[in-house]
Amino acid sequence: MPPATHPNEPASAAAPEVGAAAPTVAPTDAQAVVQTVALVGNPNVGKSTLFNALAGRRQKTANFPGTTQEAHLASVRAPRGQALLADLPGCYGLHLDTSESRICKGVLAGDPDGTMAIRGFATGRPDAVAIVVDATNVPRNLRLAGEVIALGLPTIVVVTMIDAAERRGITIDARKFEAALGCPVVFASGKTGKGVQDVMPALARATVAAGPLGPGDIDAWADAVYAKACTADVRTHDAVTDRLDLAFTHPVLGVAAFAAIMTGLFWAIFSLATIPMDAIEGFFGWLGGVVGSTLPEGAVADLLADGVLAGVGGTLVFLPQIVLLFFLIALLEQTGYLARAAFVIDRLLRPFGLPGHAFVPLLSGHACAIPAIMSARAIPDFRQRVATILAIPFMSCSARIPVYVLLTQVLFPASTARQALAFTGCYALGAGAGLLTAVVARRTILRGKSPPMALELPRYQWPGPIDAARVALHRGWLFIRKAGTVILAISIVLWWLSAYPQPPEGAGDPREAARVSFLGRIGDAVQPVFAPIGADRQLTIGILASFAAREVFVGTMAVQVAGTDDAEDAGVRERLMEAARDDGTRVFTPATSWAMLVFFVLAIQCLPTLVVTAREAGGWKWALLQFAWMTGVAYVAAAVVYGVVGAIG
Amino acid sequence: MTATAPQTTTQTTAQAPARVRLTQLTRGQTARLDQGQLEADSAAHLAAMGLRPSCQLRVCKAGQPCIVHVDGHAGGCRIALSYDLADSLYVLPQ
Repeated sequence: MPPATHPNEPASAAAPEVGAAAPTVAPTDAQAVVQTVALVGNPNVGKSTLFNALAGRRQKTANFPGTTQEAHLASVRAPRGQALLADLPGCYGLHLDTSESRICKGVLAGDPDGTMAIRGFATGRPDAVAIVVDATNVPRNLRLAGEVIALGLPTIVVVTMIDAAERRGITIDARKFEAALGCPVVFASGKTGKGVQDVMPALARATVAAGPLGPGDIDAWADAVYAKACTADVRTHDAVTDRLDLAFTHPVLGVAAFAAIMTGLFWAIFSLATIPMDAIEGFFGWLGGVVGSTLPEGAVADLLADGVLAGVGGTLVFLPQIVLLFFLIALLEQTGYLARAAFVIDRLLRPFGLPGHAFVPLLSGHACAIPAIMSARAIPDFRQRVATILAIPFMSCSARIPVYVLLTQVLFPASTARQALAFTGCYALGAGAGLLTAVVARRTILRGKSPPMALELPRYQWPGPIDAARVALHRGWLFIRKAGTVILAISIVLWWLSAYPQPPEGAGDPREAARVSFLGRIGDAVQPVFAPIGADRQLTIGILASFAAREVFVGTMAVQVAGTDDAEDAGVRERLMEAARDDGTRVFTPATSWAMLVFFVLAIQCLPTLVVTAREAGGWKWALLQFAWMTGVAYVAAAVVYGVVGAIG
Repeated sequence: MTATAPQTTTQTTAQAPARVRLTQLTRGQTARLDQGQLEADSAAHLAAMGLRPSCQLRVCKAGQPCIVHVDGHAGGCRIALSYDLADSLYVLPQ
């Protein structure tokens, strides 16, 4: 049913007062020149879709200290020049004990120390605020609107989801709504683009409305505004949504649906991403060859080929998996399914002190810990979020696979079935250790009552691939930026340690070069530390090199044993399996191989993961704790395995 | 969707059946939310989500999770609650 009046025509005069509200304040010339605008609203009201429609691709991100929340910023064309638009995190109220609420309140009301201020908001507060209201749930949305209006900023209200409201028989009279609110009202849909062009002009007419008299008056004010402007003349139950919810949250059907969807998701990630991953690997291999053949032999060529290109290429190869993972998760989120899935898994994870929200991050950890830790942002409770972040790196990521392949082949050279069994055991051991870590953390350093789970279930809808692609590309760009800074620096340091000092002129044996390098000397010095897990000098160097990135282990071992890092070559594999220690005994005895396998399942050995943990958990103490805990657990477990297998013989 | 002011507890108690736990309702039943046994933070969060005292709700699914449609008809929102949380909320069946 269409609204009774045309929604987007400007109000001719200042709005009359509503209920007990005081008179509204007419716009002044100063208010009319809008420079900074905050977009605020409840979650799932179409706020970010509206922001994307207004901002297009010109977006950047603002992070808030001490939180995992971020605001998206964009410069948007306004009637009198450009305006800086900030899409704040969705929240249910300004005075709740959640990070979203604290950020919205800090940005809109201004906080004393300015930590929530957005760069570009010169006065510390926005010049105007656009409150996004879902037409299908006006009473609830008006409560947040009342709190925001009470802050005294020039305000407009943007009503979204009009089509859905009309289908449900809800009518909003735009003129009455404007009059009741005391500020301009625009009807807009970010999804269809209808009415979006009216938002920025309306901001030039933003007014300081009266709003509720005080916090205790908000409910009555919201009820009064709703009664004056809105009617719901059809009482219908959404039977389809009821049936879908019954199926998706059913103890058996829900778990089966979840398993099927997640299997499809990870099949897509591991199969579809292979093509671009191979292309990236091939490109960096080609580029390394070009550098090697173009530049004269020497330190610069080695630095570029073995340090920069090998390091960054070895990390960027995971980019397709990361982008695809976030794209598919964004699609699932848009359908409304993920909120239901969180409840299905909640009952399985709750005994480990983790919420249902933790499942997707934990599962994503099997592709790469970095995006998995980033996706833990969706967990609202701090203790549960950090416990999840501490557990994620135990999941067997793609980078561990080459190490598992090598060591299971060494252990069971004649039995593919046993190799597969050991491989599966590695995944189970990692997942078990991760859940155990969560339990230990929640009962010690992250002790506290888990908040009861309450989630708004968004309506089911078809996903928007463009918005999902935007989210995925943004996450991919963050990962590239990290690969271009932290990972590049790590790669250069590691290359330098392994390349210098260079062996004497004419001594062309790469094995000798590895032995005399700084890394080789460090390996000699710290070998006694790793002796209890069966490591000799060569394995120690392999372990040390793999602390930057675990996949380096196989290549480092190949260089030391066979003089080449081409561990894919069958001959090199053979030599690795037969490799001898300095005393002539085998490097990979059964005890050493089992111990190494357990060590690589449980140890962290990924500096970029530690960097992301520090940022997402809120400080380096969490990253250091993660490193110490995982290394300690891996070391003790490997030592026990080495001793037991060695004793059995 | 109601536009009337919330009823007082005295009026409600006099005219409506005795209050029961939300988990005692079956699928399709409607009720008005009464006071719960919640900590202040949880109560404030639920109220901000739409589950405030005297709001009308319809049970879409009983059990774990308990799914309710707040405001009970065409508009409103759908909220899923863990069983423990639903069990700590009291309602006045209609």
